[in-house]
Amino acid sequence: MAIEKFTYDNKIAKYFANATIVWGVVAFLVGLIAALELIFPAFSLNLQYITFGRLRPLHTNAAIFAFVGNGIFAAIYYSTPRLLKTPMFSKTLSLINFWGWQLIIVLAAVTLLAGFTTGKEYAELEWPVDILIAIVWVIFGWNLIGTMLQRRTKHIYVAIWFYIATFVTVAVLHIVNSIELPVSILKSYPVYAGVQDALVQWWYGHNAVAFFLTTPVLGLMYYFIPKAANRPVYSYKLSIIHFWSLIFLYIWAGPHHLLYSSTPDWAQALGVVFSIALIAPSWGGMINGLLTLRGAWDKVREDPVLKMFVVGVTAYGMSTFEGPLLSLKSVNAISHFTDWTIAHVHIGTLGWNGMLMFGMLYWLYPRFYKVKLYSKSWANTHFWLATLGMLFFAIPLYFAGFTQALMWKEFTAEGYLKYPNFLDTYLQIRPMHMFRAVGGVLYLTGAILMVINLIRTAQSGKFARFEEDEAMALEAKTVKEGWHRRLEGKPVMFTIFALIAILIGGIVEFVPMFLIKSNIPTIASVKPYSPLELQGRDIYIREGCYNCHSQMIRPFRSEVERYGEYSKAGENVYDHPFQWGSRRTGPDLAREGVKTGKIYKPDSWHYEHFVNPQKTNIQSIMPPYPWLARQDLNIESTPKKIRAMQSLGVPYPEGYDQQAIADLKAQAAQIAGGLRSAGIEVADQTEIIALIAYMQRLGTDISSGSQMVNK
Amino acid sequence: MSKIIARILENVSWLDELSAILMVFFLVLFIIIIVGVLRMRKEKVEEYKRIPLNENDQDHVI
Repeated sequence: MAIEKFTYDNKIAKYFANATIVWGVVAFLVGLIAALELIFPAFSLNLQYITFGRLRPLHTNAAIFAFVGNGIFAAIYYSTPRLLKTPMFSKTLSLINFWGWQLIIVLAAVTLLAGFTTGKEYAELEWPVDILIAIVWVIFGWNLIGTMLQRRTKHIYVAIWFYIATFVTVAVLHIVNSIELPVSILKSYPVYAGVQDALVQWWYGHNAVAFFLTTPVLGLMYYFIPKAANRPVYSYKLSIIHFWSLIFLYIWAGPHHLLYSSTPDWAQALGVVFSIALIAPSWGGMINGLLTLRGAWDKVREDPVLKMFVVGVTAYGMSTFEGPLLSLKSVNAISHFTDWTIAHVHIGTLGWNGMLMFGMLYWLYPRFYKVKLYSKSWANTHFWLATLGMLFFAIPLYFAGFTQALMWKEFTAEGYLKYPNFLDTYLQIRPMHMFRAVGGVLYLTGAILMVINLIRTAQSGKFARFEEDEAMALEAKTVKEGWHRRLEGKPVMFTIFALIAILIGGIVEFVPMFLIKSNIPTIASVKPYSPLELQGRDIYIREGCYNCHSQMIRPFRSEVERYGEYSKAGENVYDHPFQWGSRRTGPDLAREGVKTGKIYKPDSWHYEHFVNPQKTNIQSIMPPYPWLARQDLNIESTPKKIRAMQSLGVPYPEGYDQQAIADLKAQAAQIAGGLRSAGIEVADQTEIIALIAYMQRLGTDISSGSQMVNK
Repeated sequence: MSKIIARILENVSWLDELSAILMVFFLVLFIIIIVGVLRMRKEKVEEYKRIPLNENDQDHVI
């Protein structure tokens, strides 16, 4: 059979690699500013666009979708043609993929800072951007599958298996979690509410980690480690077992983010069981990566690329051991809502994702420009800055997490909370947050050093856009092969099997949760929000309050003592979206409005606290929100929002949208009047009035004599 | 459709058995995969795990 010559085009891989570097620095910088705001609230400069609540989603989205996202595209567009011995299917689709993805990132940055958010972690982008993401992702998949179909190698290599799983699963996750009802061009409500929304969101959130931050990076690992070490992957058998078990098991584990919440116990149990089971396939990947280096460890001593890969894969192993540990209910009771979780995710992102990306970039640029790396010693320095930065970042946060948990739960001999003032528990960990910021500075400095090194590398060579290669055309011969080997020769079938494997867990968890009413016992006294409260809730979401405050009181004595009655599933049935949060930098707010409650504050306190938190407590780290008292509420949007809620099943009376504005004005006048009698001059229809109305509503539905009924 | 599924889920007692059947099914499937993989011939496996390495990648190793 004749040998065919063909050409690889490095342009798109280089574009994505450049974007990885740029957005990586942006993500780290924004993260550092957010970290500094937690230490010095004045860092937000009284600007509504850069408060912690808006910066944190920008940081997480930039780190996940801009830095790692561009990195995995760079890896896929470089490795896929070489593994399949063919150019990419379509240069046009490749370009649309690249520019479409950059457009999404820019739109994300602008809209998140402007306060347009769905209020769902890692899925904050509003519906027009969600549609754009779906389109660009399908284009990417079309290009990937098209390339597989024109391949010259009969079998698809293990890296491609992980790329396939990434494509199909991210598509499913994104589409299902983003089903929302638009109210305006940049505002929507998710179709799911309360517990159901929480289950879908954390099915998405957990598997965004699995299928955006893990499977494509494992694919990257399976290509670049053997290349950099010049050795085959350690075990083909292990790659089969760990691939299928990883993608099958991961999808079930989402509810481990909801332990001790009002999610049904059976869902929590599934989350725990599958999280523990995940240790095996995760470590299968780690072992396969590290043992690929057997016989090549002498190279690790010399080569910064391999050093970064080794630390990255080790961080993956640590992180995927810690994840199941955190999923045990007894551990989660301590760790959840504390900085322990923040430390855990940063071992994953700074260690596993960051180091793999850096190693890949140091490997790619000399090959793009056909020169040696400008400075190997700078790359080694970057390695140490990144490694130490990661440790300086994570270790203080582990201490902070333990400290928070212990202080939240400590009682005096008389049976009272030892630290009833939540702020005391934050002030104790402030020094640890300072150390964390030092870690961030080290990590960012290393990344900047890499940028200079790679620019100098590019300047010292000439970009080799095209690379020639040759291979035999794909033969249609039939040779007796094992079942998996046959499957590797049928990429479409492989894709379908991967899709089935990832669908099972979601279906088993979602169908009963949505169809069996006893999962969410209805509470007769729980009523829809008033129009003013609904508007206030949207401001709560806009300002990203959920980034620091939870609305989920777990059934522990320490939490009930601090906040009041534990949260019930039926309380959130009209919450589109749910706002349970995942971290408590500030106290839980689920019972904020209960007048006889543990944490009740009058309207005047809330006003002063929003305008200048340091006035109510000099040591508060909450940023000021003075614009809330200046900006008028968008009253005209109220009827539309009421109609949207009615469409989603919230039982407002028919025609209530016509009455809503009058009701809103009446309630606003009442609150503003109360504030004026307390000596505070404020206009009736400002945003702060709506937010106060929402605060005072929280938790009041079941404050007394409520009945839980299964309808 | 969803009402029909809901009624089945609410009222059918054999769902408990179904979950046990599914568990056994996936367990057996998993064991078959493991046994199948372990029975692969060593020389074949050595061949399969190789990445296509015939491009000249080692020219510019740093």
